Amino acid sequence: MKKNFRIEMVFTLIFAIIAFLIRQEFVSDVLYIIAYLIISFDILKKAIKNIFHGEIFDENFLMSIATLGALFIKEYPEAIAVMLLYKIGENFQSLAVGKSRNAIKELMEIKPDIANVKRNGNIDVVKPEEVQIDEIIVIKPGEKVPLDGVVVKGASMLDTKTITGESVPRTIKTNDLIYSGSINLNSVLEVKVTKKFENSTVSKILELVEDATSKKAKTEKFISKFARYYTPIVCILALLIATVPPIVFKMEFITCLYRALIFLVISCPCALVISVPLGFFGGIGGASKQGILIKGSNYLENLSKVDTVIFDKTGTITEGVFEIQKIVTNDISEDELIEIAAYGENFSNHPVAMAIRKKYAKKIEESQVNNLREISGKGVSANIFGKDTLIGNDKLLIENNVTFDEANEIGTIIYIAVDGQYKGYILIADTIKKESKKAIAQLKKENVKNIYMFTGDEAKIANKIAKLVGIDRCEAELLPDEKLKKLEQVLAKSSEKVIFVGDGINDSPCLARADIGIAMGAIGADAAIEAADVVIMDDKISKIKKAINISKKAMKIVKQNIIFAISVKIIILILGTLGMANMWLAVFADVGVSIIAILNSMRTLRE
Amino acid sequence: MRKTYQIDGIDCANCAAKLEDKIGKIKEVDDVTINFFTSKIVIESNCESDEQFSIVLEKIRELARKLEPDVTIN
Repeated sequence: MKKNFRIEMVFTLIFAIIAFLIRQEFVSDVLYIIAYLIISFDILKKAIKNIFHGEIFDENFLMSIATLGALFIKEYPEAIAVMLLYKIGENFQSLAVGKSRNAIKELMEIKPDIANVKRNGNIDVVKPEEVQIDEIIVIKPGEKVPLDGVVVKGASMLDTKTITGESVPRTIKTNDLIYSGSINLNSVLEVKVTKKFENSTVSKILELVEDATSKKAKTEKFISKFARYYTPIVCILALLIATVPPIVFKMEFITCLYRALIFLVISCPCALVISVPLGFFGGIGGASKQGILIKGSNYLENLSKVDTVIFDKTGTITEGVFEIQKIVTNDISEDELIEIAAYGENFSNHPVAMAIRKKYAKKIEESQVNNLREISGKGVSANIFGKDTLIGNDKLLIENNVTFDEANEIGTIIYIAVDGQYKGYILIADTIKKESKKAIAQLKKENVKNIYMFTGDEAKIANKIAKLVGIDRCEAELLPDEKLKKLEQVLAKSSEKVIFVGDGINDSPCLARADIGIAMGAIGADAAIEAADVVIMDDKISKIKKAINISKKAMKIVKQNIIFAISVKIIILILGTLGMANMWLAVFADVGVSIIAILNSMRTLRE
Repeated sequence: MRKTYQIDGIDCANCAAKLEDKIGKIKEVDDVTINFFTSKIVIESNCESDEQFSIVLEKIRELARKLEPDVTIN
C-alpha cells in the first residue's frame, strides 16, 4: 500500500471520528468535508483534468460525482466511506496486479544476462547481444546458455526445462547443438555461436510470449466491447433513476438521487477489463513453462473447442528417422546391393535415400551414374556401373516387366533390378514414437472425436501404423497439395475446431490453414515457429493434451469471472433501484469482485 | 510495419483499454495492443518507412499524454 495513502487514510479517519463525536452540526459538517477532501483530493483533481480532455465517463469523475452527490444530500460518512473503500480497493488491485506481473516476470526469467566470450586469449564478460556468430563462448556450470551454438569442447548435462518443459537433463557432447536459455549443470563447455542473440531460441520464445496477447480471443474482444458500452449505459440509467421517478411518480428526489449514485459507484467494468486478459495471458504463460508456445489468445481459446486432430505421420507419430531394417538379396552380395542403391539414390533428399546412403557410408563416384531419371511416386531408373538399373517400389518393377518375389513387409520396400533381373530388396522403416499410442488414447478421453493421420506414405504402411497407435482414420498416399485438399474437406465437415499437427518444415500450408497448426520439435527450426500457431518445443505429442487442458482451465476461469462479475453488478443495480442497497455495499461489492476476479485469473499462471 | 515498445505509467487496465481504443482510431494505425501485464505496446501500422513511423509514434505519444499524463512510451 502506498505510503501517501496510509497518511491520508489516518487523517481522514481522525477527522471523521471527531466530526462524528461533535454534536454541534455546523462544526461537524465542516470536519466531515475536510475528511472527505483529504481522502479524495487526488481523485477530484484527476477527474477535473480529464473533463478538459473530454473523458466524461472516466472512473475518477464518476466516483467524484457519486461522492459529491452523497455530500450534497448530507450523507457525509457515506461519501467518505465510499471514497475510502474505493481507494483501499484500488490499492489491493494494484497489489494483485503487481503480484501477477511478478509471476509473469518469473516466467520470462529465461533471458540470459551475460556471455563469457573468448577474445584474444582472454575471456571477456559481455552482454549476449554483443556476441558475434562464430565466436567461442565459455559456459560454466550453473550458468545459462546465452546463445545458440555448437559444442566445440567439453561434455555436460543440460537442464532444458525452461525451453522444452522437459525435466530430465539432456546429456550433451562435442558437436551437439545447444539452445540458449537452458542451464549448464556440471562441467565447462566451449561453444561456437551459430546465431546472433536476437535470432536465438530464447529471444524467439520471449518475443512470442510477449506478443501473444496481440492476437485477441473472441472473449477478449467481447469484453472490451462490453466495457465500452457498459459505463455509458449505467450512467444513463443513473440519470433516469434520479429524474424519472420524482417527475412521473412524485417520489422524493433525494431518495432517487441516492439510488442513482449507487449506480455510479459500480459503473467501472474494471473487474472484467483486468481479469479476462490476465486469464488468457496466464494461460499462455503457464503453457510456455511446459514447453508449449501458444502464439495468441485466440489460439488458446480455440484449443478448448477442439474436436478433430489431424496428425502428419512422419516425424510426428513416428520418430521420422528411417533405418534399414532388412536386406534380402537374389544372386548378389548385400554390400553390392547397398552400393547400387546408394549410387541410384545419391541425388535424392528423401529420408529413405538418406538411410541407404548412411548405411553405405562411402564416397560415391558420380561419374558412374548416367541417364538418371526420377519417376515420381515410383523410384529411379539409371545406368549405374554401365548397367541399366531400376531402384524403386513394386510399381516400378511391374511397369518394366521385371519378375520378382513380392515382399510382405511393413515399411518402405526398395526393390532393385539390374539389366531386367531382380536382385533383391531393402526394407526401410521408421519407428513409432513410444508415447504415440498413449497420447492418442488421452486425446480421445479429452473428447476429441475425430483423429486422422495424413501421410504421403503407402496405404499399407500407413494403415498398419494408424492401427498400432489407435488412429481410426488414415488418409495415405497423399501428395502435398492433396493433403491440403483433404484438410479443407475435414474443416468444412467439422463443426468445432480442427488441429493439424506436423513437424513443421514441409507441412507449412496445412499448419497455416488449420484452425490451430501445431508444430512439433520446433527447437531451432525457424520455419516451424513461423507457420504454426502453437509450437511444442520437445517433440512430445502428449503435450497436445496438456495444451488442451491448459486452454480448458483458462477458459473456465475466464468464464467464471465474466459470469461472476456481471451478475454481481446486475444484482447491485437491481437492489439499488429498489432501494435495498446502500453505497457501502455497492463499493464493497465492486472492489471485492475485481479483487476476487484477479485472484481467480492468477490461477491460470499455475499449472 | 510492426513495432513493440515499452509503455510505463499506466495504472489501471481500464485506462489501458481506453488508450488502446483511442490509438486504434489513428488513421495510420492498423492495430494496436497494450499488454498491461508486461507493459508492452505493439503497434501495427501501414507506414512504409521509419520516418513515417516516427511521426505516427509522436502522435501516439501526444495522445497518451493527453489521456494519461504519466504515460511514457519508449
